Amino acid sequence: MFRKKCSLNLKEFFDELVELKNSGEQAKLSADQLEYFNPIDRVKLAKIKKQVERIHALKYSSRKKYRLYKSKKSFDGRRGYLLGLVFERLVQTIFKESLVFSLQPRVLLDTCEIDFFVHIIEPYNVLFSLLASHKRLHGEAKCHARSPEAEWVNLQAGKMVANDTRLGMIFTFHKPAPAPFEFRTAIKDHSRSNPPVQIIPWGPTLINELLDGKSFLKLIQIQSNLAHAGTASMQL
Amino acid sequence: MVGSLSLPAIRNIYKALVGIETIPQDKNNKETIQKLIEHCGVPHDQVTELLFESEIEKPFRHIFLSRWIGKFKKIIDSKDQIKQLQLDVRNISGISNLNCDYVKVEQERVVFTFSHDASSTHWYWQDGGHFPELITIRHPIIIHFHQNGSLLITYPGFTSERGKEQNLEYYDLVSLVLNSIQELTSIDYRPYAIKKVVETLLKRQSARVNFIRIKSGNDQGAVDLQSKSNDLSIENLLPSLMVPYLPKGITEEQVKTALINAINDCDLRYSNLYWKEEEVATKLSYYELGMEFLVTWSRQDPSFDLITPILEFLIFLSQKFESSNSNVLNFFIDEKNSRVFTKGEIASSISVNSKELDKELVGLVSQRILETRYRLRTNKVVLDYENKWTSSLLELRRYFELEDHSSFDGTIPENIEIGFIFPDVQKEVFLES
Repeated sequence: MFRKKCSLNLKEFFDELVELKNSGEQAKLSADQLEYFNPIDRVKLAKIKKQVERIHALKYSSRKKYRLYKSKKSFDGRRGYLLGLVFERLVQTIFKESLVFSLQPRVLLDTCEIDFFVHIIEPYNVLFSLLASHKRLHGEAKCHARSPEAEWVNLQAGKMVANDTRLGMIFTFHKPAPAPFEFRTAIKDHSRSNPPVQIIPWGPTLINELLDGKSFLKLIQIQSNLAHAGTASMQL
Repeated sequence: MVGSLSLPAIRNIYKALVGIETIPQDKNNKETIQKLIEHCGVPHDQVTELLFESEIEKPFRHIFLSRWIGKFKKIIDSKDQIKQLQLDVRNISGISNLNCDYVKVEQERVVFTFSHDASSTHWYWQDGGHFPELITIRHPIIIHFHQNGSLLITYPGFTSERGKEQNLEYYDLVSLVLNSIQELTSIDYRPYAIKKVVETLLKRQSARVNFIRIKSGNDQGAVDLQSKSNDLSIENLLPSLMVPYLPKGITEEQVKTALINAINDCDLRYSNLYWKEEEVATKLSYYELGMEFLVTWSRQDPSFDLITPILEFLIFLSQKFESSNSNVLNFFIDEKNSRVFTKGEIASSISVNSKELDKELVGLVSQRILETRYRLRTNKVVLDYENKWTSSLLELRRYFELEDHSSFDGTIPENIEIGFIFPDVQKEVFLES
């Protein structure tokens, strides 16, 4: 009983941090506290990542013995469907146990469909400068083998403005590489437009960094800074 | 002036004036700005204004830290008088007067840009060798008066006398400017007690910094200790070298303590600190009006974002030392045994109300002065886990089985108890529950 009365629990500590932040002071979280806010099942994530890679690598065979689908078209359709399904699970794994995010997949609105609609949970969002002024995040998944295109960014920015969302993420899955010039320029331009729309690109390089033990909340903060600056060193 | 600006700053100026960010590949910085003035029809004043604005947003190698005491409004009101200052620095290091070029008044700071011409040695490469050449450069001194009382002065420094830096003259320049401003604004300067903070960091073997060079001494002489690697702190280096030669009965730990005490008892002339998190090395020199950081921006681009957390950390600690009300920090400093303390234990040792104590503890943790440790918040025996203090919060983020075979949810923040420890302890500390 003594311990319960006289000790500080983690919730009280976080509440006090929020109060400190709201009063204009600095409130920094340690690496393990960051991870506690958004824990990730890395074993599961690695497993799903491998599944995505395997589906990506599948090729249509015209030989009758190996042919499961009548035509390449039906094979591609099936592969695309599976890829979407598994990639969705991969993104859900990142947000699943978070204390600051609550994810809803495939949200159908009057005007468009959103792949991932993420609510940013208050009051702990104020502890992260990226999330402090946002209430929701618009996520789009683009699981194509080809490199990211500026068109995806423009399309998403349009949807975000229509839905009054200012923070977004594009989840891509291709070979790890630096972000192409047109792609990062489009992101940078939208972040400086009126109204500003902040889109954070997320690719396999960052998934690898997550698997290496880095914190998701820290990674998105760094990636958003790089995206806003449009630097060539931004990796996907 | 253009020479001291970074390429991103030049790009920003180019974009602001011309509307595009890509600057011509074949032009250097000086030519780019020249082209803007000559061909793009941009007025000279507008370019100069932008250059000054860009210049104040970047720290130089030398950062002088002090504190001013007085009314902020007084500085703002005296800005026109300060702008007219012309200080003769020819006997110090310059070859022209020190003038105020630019003033920027913001809600939370006032910035003055002073500059003077100085002769500097420029080393150029020719026929397989380096040769010195004496050139005239503009040497800016940028003074930031922050409303919270901190005073930052930043300047790039210059080389003269065949590459030897004239460190002492920088302080003469700084003190001359500060004294002139003091006469006009009647503000006072009181440096932060950073030296004491540095000595304490060394004494407590702080996990935040490594001491890579220390020069300490008294009237009879001085000792200069230097570590080759940024990862190896002086206090660990020397005792480890001495271990094979120590007589029986003397441990490495005793030598380490003796070394730290000897350094602290002598006069600490200067110290080189490597800030692990920021990956920045700083050489600290102490003067009457404040202290000077010589920052080595080896792995990082110069930015206030990087240096500000270091300055805030030092200022925060020095203010805590000065303040008689900082019972919590004094409690940890006075405590000989480095162990984890719960809020209850701290509250029972010092007289402070619960809410204030929470605030103080969270502030100290946020400033990375204290570290946190965690354990399950239950008095019952946990069957599948030894409920000791741990630094890994994620270890507790699962379900546990208690002695009565009930389940205990570690994913709920209310179920985790938090303890505090002074971060100088390098190894994992556990306390029996």
